[in-house]
Amino acid sequence: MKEIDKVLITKYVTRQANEEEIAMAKYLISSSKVHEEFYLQLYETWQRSIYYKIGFIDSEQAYSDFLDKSTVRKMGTIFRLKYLTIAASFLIICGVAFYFYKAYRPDKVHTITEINVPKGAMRKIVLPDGTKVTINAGSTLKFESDFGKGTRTVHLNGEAYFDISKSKIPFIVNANNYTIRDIGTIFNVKAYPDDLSFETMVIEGEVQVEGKLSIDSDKSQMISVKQQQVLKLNYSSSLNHVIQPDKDFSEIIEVKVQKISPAQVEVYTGWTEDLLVFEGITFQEITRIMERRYDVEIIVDNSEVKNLKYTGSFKNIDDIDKALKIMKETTDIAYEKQGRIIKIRKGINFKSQSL
Amino acid sequence: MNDNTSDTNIWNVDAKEFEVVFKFHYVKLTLYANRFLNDIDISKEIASDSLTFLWEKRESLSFTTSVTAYLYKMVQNKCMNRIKHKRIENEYVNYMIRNKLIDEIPEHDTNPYHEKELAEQIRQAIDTLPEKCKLVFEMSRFEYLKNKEIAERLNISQNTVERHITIALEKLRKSLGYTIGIILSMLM
Repeated sequence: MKEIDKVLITKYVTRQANEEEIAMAKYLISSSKVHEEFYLQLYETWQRSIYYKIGFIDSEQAYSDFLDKSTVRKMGTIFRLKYLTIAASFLIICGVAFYFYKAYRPDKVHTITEINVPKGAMRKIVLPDGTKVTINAGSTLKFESDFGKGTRTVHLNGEAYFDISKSKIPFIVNANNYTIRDIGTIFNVKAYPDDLSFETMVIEGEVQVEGKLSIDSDKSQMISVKQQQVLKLNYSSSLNHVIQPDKDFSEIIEVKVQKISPAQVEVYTGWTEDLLVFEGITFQEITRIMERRYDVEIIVDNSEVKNLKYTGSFKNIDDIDKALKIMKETTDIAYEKQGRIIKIRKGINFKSQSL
Repeated sequence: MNDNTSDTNIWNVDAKEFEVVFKFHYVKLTLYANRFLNDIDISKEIASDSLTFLWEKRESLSFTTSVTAYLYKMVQNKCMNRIKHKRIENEYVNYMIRNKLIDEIPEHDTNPYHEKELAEQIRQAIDTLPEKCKLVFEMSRFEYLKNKEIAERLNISQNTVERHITIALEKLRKSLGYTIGIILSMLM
């Protein structure tokens, strides 16, 4: 992670990077000081390298172009009128052509942009409308090529943090059969299909969430989530749910809207700054987060350990070993690591926790 | 060329004098715009538009600063507007804004001595590159060719092209390291 990706930064500076590479380069520059410095120097170098053939910016040519343009402008009004007539008829032709094009065009073809962030990574992107999105590990964000033209809709699978750029067009996030709608806010959506929960947390502004929100009704409902609030839905852990990823069929066991204190915000958004905050959540939930963050597989084969609750935070910890060592300090667990697989079990002096 | 010519009462210049002003500033303004946009074609357009504006409005403009400062400011504003409207995110520009360096004009753009020195440094660094590497770099920098096109023309892989450009720029960066280093430490 620490090594500078020189080829990638070079491609970005020389404008040869594709969309994905641009996003990656932007992420590296914004999150790593060494990358930022390397990028700044390379940008500066690329700029200065023009001096090698400074003649290719041709001032003689530019001056003669300038002369041409300014003579056209000096021509009399009769000339201008003539040009206007030509321009007007051209516009009419274009209009007619466009009408026929629209009328006879086959169904609209949209290309879809899909941003996949693998486990163990995180990516910051800017959407065409200026909305900033941070996408968490193991998540996918999709949007169509007409994004921003009349609609602003994205499809999220996983977790993302949205800083919506202001516009009259509502911004819509589709995640797990829920629709989150807003106009200019900052919020976090956590909707991993393999999690037994769905979360929308609002930092600024207000959003509306639409979907199945009731334990005893399948009807779609709508709820407003305001500033400093979080909407949490928990699903039953029946096997059924795992087989059937469509949450319509899984059972909601809890729906709650909670107020969050400024200190708790980090629990939801800390990940965007590589800060993991666990506040009294079970090892079972923690392992899911860690698996995505570190691209590992964690096996907890003891139900007592699974239900053990843990509180603690980890800042900029690149290595899961370090995180586990810290956890070991305060909880009596033992673990072994073999490649990507980590097994967590009871420690020698393990006492069951009274819950 | 003496900078006074371009700094005194431009609104009185005739076409002949303006030609000198145009040619004196055009390349420098293009380079200046390119720092914000990293796009030579658009930068040329902005430099030329700014000079055209100056000519057309020469009778109605009044300056509180020198004409040179006015031109640079105009170019900068045009670039910033473009960045805003096209929603371009340029980390270099952000960095300059953050550190309040956005208004600085690089010394090698205004001081002919530094400009010469810089050109010489760059010439030396590029001329000592291996032949293929130099060729690839020139094609990329001065012929606007995409890496893919260069690969096809030279019948090498795209990865090789990428590597050549990375090596060339890295070597150039190192040879300029001293001056860029100063800029950066000044920024910090």
